[in-house]
Amino acid sequence: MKSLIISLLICICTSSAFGQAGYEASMLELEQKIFSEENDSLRNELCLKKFNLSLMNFDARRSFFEMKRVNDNLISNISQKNNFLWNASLVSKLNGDFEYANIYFDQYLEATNDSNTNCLILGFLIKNENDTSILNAFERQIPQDSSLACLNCLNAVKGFKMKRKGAYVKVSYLFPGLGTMMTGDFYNGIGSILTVSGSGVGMYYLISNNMYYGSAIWGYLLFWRFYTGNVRLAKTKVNNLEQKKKALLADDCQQQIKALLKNNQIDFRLNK
Amino acid sequence: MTFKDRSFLSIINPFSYASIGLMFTYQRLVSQQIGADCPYELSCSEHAKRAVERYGILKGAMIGFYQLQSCTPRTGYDFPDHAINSDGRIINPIEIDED
Amino acid sequence: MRTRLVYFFFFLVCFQARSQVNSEFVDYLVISELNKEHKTYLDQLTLDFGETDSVRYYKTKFDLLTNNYDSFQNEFNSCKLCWKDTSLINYSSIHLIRFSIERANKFWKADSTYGSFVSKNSILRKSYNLSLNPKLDDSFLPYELKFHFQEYKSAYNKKAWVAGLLSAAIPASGKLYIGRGNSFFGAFALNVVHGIILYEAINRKGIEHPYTIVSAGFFGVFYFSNIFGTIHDLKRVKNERRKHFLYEVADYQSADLYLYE
Repeated sequence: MKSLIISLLICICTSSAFGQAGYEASMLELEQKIFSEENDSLRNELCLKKFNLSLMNFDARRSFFEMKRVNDNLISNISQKNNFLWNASLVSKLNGDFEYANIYFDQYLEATNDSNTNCLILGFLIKNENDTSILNAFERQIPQDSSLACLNCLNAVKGFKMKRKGAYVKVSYLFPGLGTMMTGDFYNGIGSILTVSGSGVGMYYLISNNMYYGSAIWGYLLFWRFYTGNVRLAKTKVNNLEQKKKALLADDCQQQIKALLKNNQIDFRLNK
Repeated sequence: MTFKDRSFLSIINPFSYASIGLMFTYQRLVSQQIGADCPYELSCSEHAKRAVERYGILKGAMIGFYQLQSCTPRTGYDFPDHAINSDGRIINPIEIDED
Repeated sequence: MRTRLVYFFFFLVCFQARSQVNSEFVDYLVISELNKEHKTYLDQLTLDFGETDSVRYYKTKFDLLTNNYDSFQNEFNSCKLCWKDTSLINYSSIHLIRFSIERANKFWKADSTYGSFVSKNSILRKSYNLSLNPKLDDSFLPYELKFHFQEYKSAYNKKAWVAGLLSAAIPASGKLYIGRGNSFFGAFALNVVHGIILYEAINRKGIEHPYTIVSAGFFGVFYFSNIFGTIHDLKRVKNERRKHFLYEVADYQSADLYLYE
């Protein structure tokens, strides 16, 4: 009977262990431990464990959430702390929060003085999304390395601006539709010419028939709207063209970075 | 809008199709030219198009032109908060939302 | 030995039943916004103890928290503990009415079927009935809500034919009557402007000229659409005011009501 009771107890105790197999169950188990832990540094350790577990399961959004719960000042093990800072900057970048990424990356760099190529690449990719001054300051810090020269394309993409953008708009004021046509959109350019000239002719017809009120009203309701609309359209089209050119440049840059990343892979650093 | 939701008049009336086509042409050709910016969630032409599809040409056109007249910068002040979407545009479904 | 064994199992069952849900842990998960862990925890409880009433109670709350309304209603219907919790019923009504008035009504119907219909005495439920028939007694409404009710009542009492007639007499004046005053001027100006165009066209070109016919068409369309549109819009105005009133009541009633302590 004794053995029966013992085996029953073992069954009861282990049933929960079997149920907790799997990622979600492990996350919950850790959370339960965090909940019942009163010591801050032990609690922080558990949070770090949870963060690492979510990283191992490629759960980027959750990793970002868990990352914010970890206090890096409470991590006593240096290598663990450095790995956390690296992972945190990478996770923040993957989640599009470049401010967080920049803060963690700077802390990582300060702690490790890491000058490996993959670290510099990550730095470039993070700082490129922040202010230009931040990127320039970072560029000045790193040694001139020929293998990283292609990363300058990031700067070129960021600073890209189309020349003589205002000319397209000015031309549209003088010759409706021409600015739009100059951006390569002939279809809408001809549309502008037809609508502005059509409503202009209509106005002229009304004036020549002594219908001044009608002319003024239709002039405001149609001619003026088409005329200002043509300028607005040219502005939109020129902005679109700029974005298109920038995207082409960015694509080219992305290819170069991809090639660079093939040889210098950036990965999470998980504690063994 | 599915075929089932449309009124019988809208289905059999060729003018309904013509007016929907007109709206479509306006959206493709003219709308860009005037840089139309409507305070409503559904633009005037889209609203009119759907109203014609739903109610037929007569009622649909009336609803469409009514919205066109109400398209002023101050219109938003006439609506309570719950009738304004997160972009600050007035929610204007074709059916009156009882729920 | 046998009695000891019976005692032991009795103790085991009692202990498990009592400690099924750690409410403090659930509150902690809610505050920390750990919804995935929360769900896993409730799923695990279901696996360990089955669909007990207390687990269902927490599942219902979780469904409400995550706006999973279909599952919420199903769980609630079969949860005896939920129907005994008046504050949960009131909180659910408030939450549901903001999502859909119809869904809140369904919930109240379920309360009368499965529960003890405690919601019938809530201000929200009474206000819902009042919104269907504003002639009912409104003395239960607190001072803060009276104004919103009067606002709804005045919209409810507006007549479509008066709005139409006003719009026919002075274009767009129906808008002022139904409470769309801010778009009045634009609509009025558009009608006047098309009237001027038509008047000028008739004077200069005569009634049979194509330009006059087109101008008459524009004027007619704007004029009649205004009349018809105002009548149509009045239905929307009434509906908007009703929703506004019910949302205000929900806001009022939601004070001091929490889903989790």
